[in-house]
Amino acid sequence: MNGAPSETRPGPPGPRSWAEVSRLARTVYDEFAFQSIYALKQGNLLADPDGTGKGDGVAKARRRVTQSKMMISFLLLLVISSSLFTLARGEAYLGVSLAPSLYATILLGGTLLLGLSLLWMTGLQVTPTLLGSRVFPILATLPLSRRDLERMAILLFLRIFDLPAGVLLVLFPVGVGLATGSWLAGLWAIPGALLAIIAAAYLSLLTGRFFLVRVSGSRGGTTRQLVARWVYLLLWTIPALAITVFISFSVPLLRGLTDWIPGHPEGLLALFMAFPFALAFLPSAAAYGFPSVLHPEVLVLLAATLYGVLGVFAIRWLWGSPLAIALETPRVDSPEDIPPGRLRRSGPVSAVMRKDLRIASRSPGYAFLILLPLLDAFVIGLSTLVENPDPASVERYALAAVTVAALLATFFGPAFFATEVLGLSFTRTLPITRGEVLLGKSALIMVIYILSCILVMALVVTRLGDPLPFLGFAAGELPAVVAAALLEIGIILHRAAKTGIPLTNLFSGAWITTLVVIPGLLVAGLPLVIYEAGRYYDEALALPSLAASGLVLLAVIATWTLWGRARPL
Amino acid sequence: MQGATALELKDLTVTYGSLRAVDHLSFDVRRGEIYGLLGSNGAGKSSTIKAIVGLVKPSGGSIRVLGRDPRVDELATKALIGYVPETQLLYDALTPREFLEFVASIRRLDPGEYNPRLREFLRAFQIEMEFDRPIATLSNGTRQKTLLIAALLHTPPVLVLDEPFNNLDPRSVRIMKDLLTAYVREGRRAVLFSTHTMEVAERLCHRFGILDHGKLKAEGTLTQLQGGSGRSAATLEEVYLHVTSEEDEIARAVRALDEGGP
Repeated sequence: MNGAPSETRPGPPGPRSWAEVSRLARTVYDEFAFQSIYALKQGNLLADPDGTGKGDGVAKARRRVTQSKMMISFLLLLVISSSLFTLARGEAYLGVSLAPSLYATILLGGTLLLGLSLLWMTGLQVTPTLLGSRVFPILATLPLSRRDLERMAILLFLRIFDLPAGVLLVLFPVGVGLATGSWLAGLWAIPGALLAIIAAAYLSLLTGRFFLVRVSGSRGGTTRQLVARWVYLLLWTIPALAITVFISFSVPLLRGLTDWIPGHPEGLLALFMAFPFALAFLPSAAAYGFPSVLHPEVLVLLAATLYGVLGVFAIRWLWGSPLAIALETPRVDSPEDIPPGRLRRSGPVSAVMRKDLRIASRSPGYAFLILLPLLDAFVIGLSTLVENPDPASVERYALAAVTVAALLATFFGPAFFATEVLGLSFTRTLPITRGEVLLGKSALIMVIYILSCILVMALVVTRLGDPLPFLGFAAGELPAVVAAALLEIGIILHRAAKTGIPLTNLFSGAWITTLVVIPGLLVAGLPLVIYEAGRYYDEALALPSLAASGLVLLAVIATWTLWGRARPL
Repeated sequence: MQGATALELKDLTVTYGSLRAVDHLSFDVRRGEIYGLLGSNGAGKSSTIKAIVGLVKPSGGSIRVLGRDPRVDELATKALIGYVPETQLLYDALTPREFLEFVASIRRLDPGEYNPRLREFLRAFQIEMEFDRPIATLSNGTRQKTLLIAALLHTPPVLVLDEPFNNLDPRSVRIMKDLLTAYVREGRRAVLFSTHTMEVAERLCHRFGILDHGKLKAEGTLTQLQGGSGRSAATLEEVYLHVTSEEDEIARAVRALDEGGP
């Protein structure tokens, strides 16, 4: 047949140069950046239905990934510069009395730990998307050798960290050299920076795999599986917690350590042998010599060497793992593991809450919105344990804790619409009312607020002993929090009903979910302002004024938002 | 056994900006009937269906579902319909069990009724093993089966199915075809069935509506459509291509592709 279509002949397969692999990886990176940003976008659909703007979308996604990396790098820059500035000013600057090499080791170790945390946080956010994206299974069908695929995978994986890792690797040693006045110390700082980056990459890949297998890919059903998912999500908060604790408590912690060291030489040795303090000891010893209180210091040097060896093993594991994990076959369950096919029905409001919590339990980004107010409550509670507060100031603590809990719950509440994604379109075909969605999502915000209050109260009461001020503030502010939640969700639903389009989320640049936070914060904050104003007139009336203003706001806003609650979504 | 009207569209118009996706469309689906809505991509099938289930607001005309006007009583209308969308609209982070629990809770279904039915579905579609895995990790076929169960769980009197057999394995297609035939047999329920697959539609549907550029170009049973096109022995595909005037265009395109090779 003359007109038969010709076969397309493949090019000869062969080894590819690093330059070619790198060029291919760049193309794949665009797709991955697009997926990592667009995975968070409502409906996973392009803004323009005919798709003519996909090019813009890819460029925008790439820009956002770069912006995110720049932000982490900037944070890292701040941490390194503030820490090294403190080192350069000497131990007298913080009012502690420590040998210079001990002081330097603790400061540099803390900086490396924080650098590791920031890099790990970057990896936690992006690695699951890289491993779970479809880019590798698609590439595996092309005539590319396993070696080329592995090289592409590792290049893509490393690009997650390139800018922040570069900042740590260059600025940390240079800064150490400048702060200590010893270029030798700067050179000895390189192993610490390098191993912190390797550790962050290792942890990112490990937790990324855990996320795919045990969280996003885990079976539903049992409580044990649900607990495993939330434990992982708590792990997600560790880097954020490390950063918050460092910013809030580094000075009191350092002072506490100074008091503790003289009586605990074995404890000091254990701390200096731990990662990454053993590596921070290298530049410190190069600049200031070996401290007399640390015996035997050879153990610290051996520990540093051991971390170096482990780093080499970690690099070997990292080399092939991104591809292996991305192409991993999912675990097949045995029939005995399968629970019976039975559904548990609940009321519609409770169903909305359960759905959102279940989605959040498999999505770190959304779970973080729940966990962040709790984390902050934990830090406030911790501050009372670390800083030895005055029992007379219990009211100030209570007010601060309740304010933070209320404002954070209100700030992140609207983002619960981000959990809807494509499913909202299906939900709109069900006989569900606007009131049921409004109450379900507002109740979640209220639960976050209450849990934050309980957490901070539990911590603070152990030190200050008096729970009543907390209970008073937490209960007094509750109506305002509920009012703020109703207002925010009500505005979003009202807007959705008018435009008839699926809602979008904070990350996709949707202005509605961002702007509604402003009236929400005003409503949650107003009773607190009234409380402060009331204190000037009559201390005894301040708290009742807070509660009364909250109740008035709730009555007005609930009437407005729940008007027409029986209307369909 | 076909009876009273279950679903009625009169002069339905759906527009997206300046684009008129559905243009004064009128047809009805009777109880006991599977009505096939046929058309090319962009003919207006999905827009029609989205207007029926409340996902897009019509810019004109009316819809009645078992006599109810969705504009007046949208919730009650939605309670009467089971819907399978063309795009797999699901919460990817939920498992099929969690998704169906959400649907059952919103529909306020009776566990005593739906749980035995659910178990039969799981067995028929062979998805017990995937029932507790997140939807994001499931194959397109299993996702489609989840949507079919969600649509059928409450045994709705009106089923609205937009390309329901997409991604299904042969066994499940066969089960669905037989189930749909049985579903309307007693004359109490109705099915609106949109598809591109003419062979399936020809075997399954009692009547057909052929859409082209948002307008109803032809309607009737296969015999009526054959008569209308003057081809008494024609297949549904041949009738469809004749009605939409695509036969000549297809022949030209095949010639061009065939001759275009080296």
